[in-house]
Amino acid sequence: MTTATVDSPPPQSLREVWLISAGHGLTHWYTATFYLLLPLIGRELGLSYTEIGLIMTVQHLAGAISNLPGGMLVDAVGRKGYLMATSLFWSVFPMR
Amino acid sequence: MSLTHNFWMLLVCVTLVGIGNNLWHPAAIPTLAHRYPKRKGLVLSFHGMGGNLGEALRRWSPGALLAWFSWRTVVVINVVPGFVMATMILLMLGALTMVRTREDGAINVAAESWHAGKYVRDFVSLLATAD
Repeated sequence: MTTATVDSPPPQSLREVWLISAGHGLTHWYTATFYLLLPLIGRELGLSYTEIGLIMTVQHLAGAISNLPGGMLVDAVGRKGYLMATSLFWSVFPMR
Repeated sequence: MSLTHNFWMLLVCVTLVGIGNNLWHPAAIPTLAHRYPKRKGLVLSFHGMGGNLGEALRRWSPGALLAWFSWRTVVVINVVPGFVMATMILLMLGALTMVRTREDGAINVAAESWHAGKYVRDFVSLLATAD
Protein backbone atom coordinates (compact mmCIF):
# COMPACT_ATOMS: atom_id res chain seq x y z
CA MET A 1 0.00 0.00 0.00
CA THR A 2 1.49 3.30 -1.03
CA THR A 3 1.00 6.13 1.37
CA ALA A 4 1.89 9.77 1.29
CA THR A 5 1.85 12.30 4.05
CA VAL A 6 -0.21 15.36 3.28
CA ASP A 7 -0.29 18.05 5.87
CA SER A 8 0.51 21.68 6.38
CA PRO A 9 3.90 22.90 5.07
CA PRO A 10 6.78 23.05 7.59
CA PRO A 11 6.51 26.20 9.69
CA GLN A 12 8.98 29.03 9.16
CA SER A 13 8.96 30.28 12.73
CA LEU A 14 8.95 28.76 16.20
CA ARG A 15 5.48 30.17 16.94
CA GLU A 16 3.93 26.71 17.21
CA VAL A 17 6.70 25.63 19.58
CA TRP A 18 5.98 28.53 21.92
CA LEU A 19 2.27 27.86 21.82
CA ILE A 20 2.60 24.13 22.46
CA SER A 21 5.24 24.68 25.17
CA ALA A 22 3.00 27.20 26.95
CA GLY A 23 0.13 24.72 26.76
CA HIS A 24 2.41 22.06 28.23
CA GLY A 25 3.26 24.46 31.04
CA LEU A 26 -0.41 24.82 31.84
CA THR A 27 -1.00 21.07 32.00
CA HIS A 28 1.72 20.93 34.66
CA TRP A 29 0.31 24.09 36.26
CA TYR A 30 -2.95 22.30 37.09
CA THR A 31 -1.38 19.28 38.72
CA ALA A 32 1.06 21.50 40.65
CA THR A 33 -1.87 23.49 42.05
CA PHE A 34 -3.02 20.54 44.13
CA TYR A 35 0.23 20.28 46.06
CA LEU A 36 -0.28 23.77 47.45
CA LEU A 37 -4.01 23.77 47.94
CA LEU A 38 -4.45 20.26 49.35
CA PRO A 39 -3.47 21.14 52.94
CA LEU A 40 -6.14 23.88 52.93
CA ILE A 41 -8.71 21.68 51.21
CA GLY A 42 -7.92 18.83 53.58
CA ARG A 43 -8.39 21.06 56.62
CA GLU A 44 -11.72 22.40 55.37
CA LEU A 45 -13.09 18.98 54.38
CA GLY A 46 -11.65 17.30 57.47
CA LEU A 47 -9.44 14.88 55.54
CA SER A 48 -6.72 12.77 57.11
CA TYR A 49 -3.16 12.70 55.73
CA THR A 50 -3.91 9.24 54.34
CA GLU A 51 -6.87 10.57 52.37
CA ILE A 52 -4.87 13.53 51.09
CA GLY A 53 -2.12 11.16 49.96
CA LEU A 54 -4.71 8.91 48.33
CA ILE A 55 -6.00 11.85 46.29
CA MET A 56 -2.59 12.39 44.71
CA THR A 57 -2.13 8.64 44.23
CA VAL A 58 -5.45 8.39 42.41
CA GLN A 59 -4.61 11.37 40.21
CA HIS A 60 -1.36 9.81 39.06
CA LEU A 61 -2.88 6.33 38.73
CA ALA A 62 -5.61 7.78 36.52
CA GLY A 63 -2.88 9.42 34.45
CA ALA A 64 -0.91 6.19 34.19
CA ILE A 65 -3.93 4.15 33.13
CA SER A 66 -5.18 6.76 30.66
CA ASN A 67 -1.83 7.04 28.89
CA LEU A 68 -2.35 3.93 26.74
CA PRO A 69 -5.86 4.72 25.44
CA GLY A 70 -4.69 8.33 25.07
CA GLY A 71 -1.86 7.20 22.80
CA MET A 72 -4.22 5.02 20.78
CA LEU A 73 -6.63 7.93 20.37
CA VAL A 74 -3.83 10.22 19.23
CA ASP A 75 -2.74 7.64 16.64
CA ALA A 76 -6.28 7.39 15.38
CA VAL A 77 -7.05 11.11 15.19
CA GLY A 78 -5.07 13.17 12.73
CA ARG A 79 -5.91 16.60 14.04
CA LYS A 80 -3.45 16.91 16.92
CA GLY A 81 -4.38 20.56 17.56
CA TYR A 82 -7.88 19.51 18.55
CA LEU A 83 -6.48 16.86 20.88
CA MET A 84 -4.17 19.32 22.63
CA ALA A 85 -7.06 21.75 23.09
CA THR A 86 -9.22 18.87 24.37
CA SER A 87 -6.52 17.92 26.85
CA LEU A 88 -6.41 21.45 28.25
CA PHE A 89 -10.20 21.89 28.35
CA TRP A 90 -10.47 18.49 30.03
CA SER A 91 -7.96 19.54 32.70
CA VAL A 92 -9.54 22.96 33.19
CA PHE A 93 -13.20 22.08 33.68
CA PRO A 94 -12.86 19.81 36.75
CA MET A 95 -10.90 22.67 38.34
CA ARG A 96 -13.88 25.03 38.21
CA MET B 1 -13.70 21.55 42.26
CA SER B 2 -14.67 24.85 43.85
CA LEU B 3 -18.06 23.25 44.63
CA THR B 4 -16.49 20.18 46.24
CA HIS B 5 -17.77 19.43 49.71
CA ASN B 6 -16.56 15.90 50.29
CA PHE B 7 -13.69 13.52 49.68
CA TRP B 8 -15.34 11.59 46.83
CA MET B 9 -16.18 14.66 44.74
CA LEU B 10 -12.58 15.81 45.15
CA LEU B 11 -11.37 12.37 44.08
CA VAL B 12 -13.47 12.50 40.89
CA CYS B 13 -12.13 15.99 40.04
CA VAL B 14 -8.47 15.07 40.47
CA THR B 15 -9.03 11.85 38.48
CA LEU B 16 -10.43 13.87 35.57
CA VAL B 17 -7.49 16.29 35.74
CA GLY B 18 -5.09 13.32 35.72
CA ILE B 19 -6.75 11.83 32.62
CA GLY B 20 -6.92 15.15 30.75
CA ASN B 21 -3.27 15.91 31.37
CA ASN B 22 -2.10 12.64 29.92
CA LEU B 23 -3.66 13.27 26.54
CA TRP B 24 -1.25 16.18 26.12
CA HIS B 25 2.09 14.42 25.70
CA PRO B 26 1.12 11.86 23.04
CA ALA B 27 -0.48 14.65 21.01
CA ALA B 28 2.15 17.37 21.46
CA ILE B 29 5.43 15.45 21.11
CA PRO B 30 4.68 13.79 17.74
CA THR B 31 3.30 17.10 16.45
CA LEU B 32 6.51 18.94 17.32
CA ALA B 33 8.72 16.16 15.95
CA HIS B 34 6.72 16.05 12.74
CA ARG B 35 6.54 19.81 12.23
CA TYR B 36 10.22 20.46 12.99
CA PRO B 37 11.95 17.30 11.74
CA LYS B 38 15.41 18.90 11.64
CA ARG B 39 15.19 20.58 15.06
CA LYS B 40 13.56 17.88 17.16
CA GLY B 41 16.03 18.22 20.02
CA LEU B 42 15.57 21.97 20.28
CA VAL B 43 11.77 22.02 20.05
CA LEU B 44 11.35 19.12 22.50
CA SER B 45 13.62 20.88 24.97
CA PHE B 46 11.43 23.99 24.65
CA HIS B 47 8.44 21.76 25.30
CA GLY B 48 10.08 20.31 28.41
CA MET B 49 11.04 23.79 29.56
CA GLY B 50 7.39 24.85 29.28
CA GLY B 51 6.36 22.08 31.65
CA ASN B 52 9.01 22.99 34.21
CA LEU B 53 8.12 26.68 34.04
CA GLY B 54 4.44 25.82 34.52
CA GLU B 55 5.28 23.86 37.67
CA ALA B 56 7.64 26.54 38.95
CA LEU B 57 5.22 29.42 38.48
CA ARG B 58 2.30 27.50 39.89
CA ARG B 59 4.09 26.71 43.09
CA TRP B 60 4.64 30.37 43.73
CA SER B 61 1.45 32.05 42.45
CA PRO B 62 -1.23 30.38 44.63
CA GLY B 63 0.60 31.55 47.71
CA ALA B 64 0.26 35.11 46.47
CA LEU B 65 -3.39 34.64 45.51
CA LEU B 66 -4.22 32.96 48.82
CA ALA B 67 -3.24 36.18 50.58
CA TRP B 68 -6.43 37.72 49.15
CA PHE B 69 -8.73 34.87 48.20
CA SER B 70 -10.00 31.55 49.57
CA TRP B 71 -8.78 28.32 47.94
CA ARG B 72 -12.15 27.98 46.18
CA THR B 73 -11.72 31.37 44.51
CA VAL B 74 -8.10 30.57 43.62
CA VAL B 75 -9.30 27.39 41.90
CA VAL B 76 -11.83 29.38 39.84
CA ILE B 77 -9.24 32.03 38.89
CA ASN B 78 -6.99 29.15 37.90
CA VAL B 79 -9.38 28.21 35.10
CA VAL B 80 -8.78 31.42 33.11
CA PRO B 81 -5.26 30.81 31.70
CA GLY B 82 -6.06 27.22 30.72
CA PHE B 83 -9.27 28.25 29.00
CA VAL B 84 -7.52 31.07 27.11
CA MET B 85 -4.65 28.81 26.06
CA ALA B 86 -6.97 25.98 24.97
CA THR B 87 -8.95 28.45 22.85
CA MET B 88 -5.75 29.82 21.29
CA ILE B 89 -4.56 26.30 20.46
CA LEU B 90 -7.95 25.50 18.98
CA LEU B 91 -7.87 28.61 16.80
CA MET B 92 -4.21 28.52 15.79
CA LEU B 93 -3.50 24.78 15.63
CA GLY B 94 -6.98 23.31 15.21
CA ALA B 95 -6.55 23.08 11.44
CA LEU B 96 -3.15 21.43 11.79
CA THR B 97 -3.35 17.90 10.46
CA MET B 98 -1.06 14.92 10.50
CA VAL B 99 -3.22 12.77 8.28
CA ARG B 100 -1.82 10.19 5.92
CA THR B 101 -3.66 9.42 2.71
CA ARG B 102 -3.49 6.59 0.24
CA GLU B 103 -3.14 7.34 -3.41
CA ASP B 104 -6.75 6.37 -3.93
CA GLY B 105 -7.78 9.26 -1.68
CA ALA B 106 -8.71 7.38 1.50
CA ILE B 107 -7.84 9.57 4.44
CA ASN B 108 -6.06 8.76 7.65
CA VAL B 109 -4.63 5.33 7.07
CA ALA B 110 -3.51 5.25 10.67
CA ALA B 111 -7.11 5.59 11.82
CA GLU B 112 -8.28 3.09 9.23
CA SER B 113 -5.91 0.42 10.51
CA TRP B 114 -6.54 1.24 14.17
CA HIS B 115 -7.64 -1.75 16.15
CA ALA B 116 -7.53 -2.14 19.94
CA GLY B 117 -6.58 -5.83 19.76
CA LYS B 118 -3.61 -5.02 17.53
CA TYR B 119 -2.40 -2.39 19.99
CA VAL B 120 -2.65 -4.82 22.90
CA ARG B 121 -0.66 -7.44 20.96
CA ASP B 122 1.96 -4.83 19.99
CA PHE B 123 2.17 -3.68 23.60
CA VAL B 124 2.65 -7.24 24.90
CA SER B 125 5.31 -7.92 22.25
CA LEU B 126 7.11 -4.72 23.30
CA LEU B 127 7.14 -5.93 26.90
CA ALA B 128 8.37 -9.35 25.82
CA THR B 129 11.35 -7.82 24.00
CA ALA B 130 12.13 -5.24 26.66
CA ASP B 131 14.78 -7.33 28.36
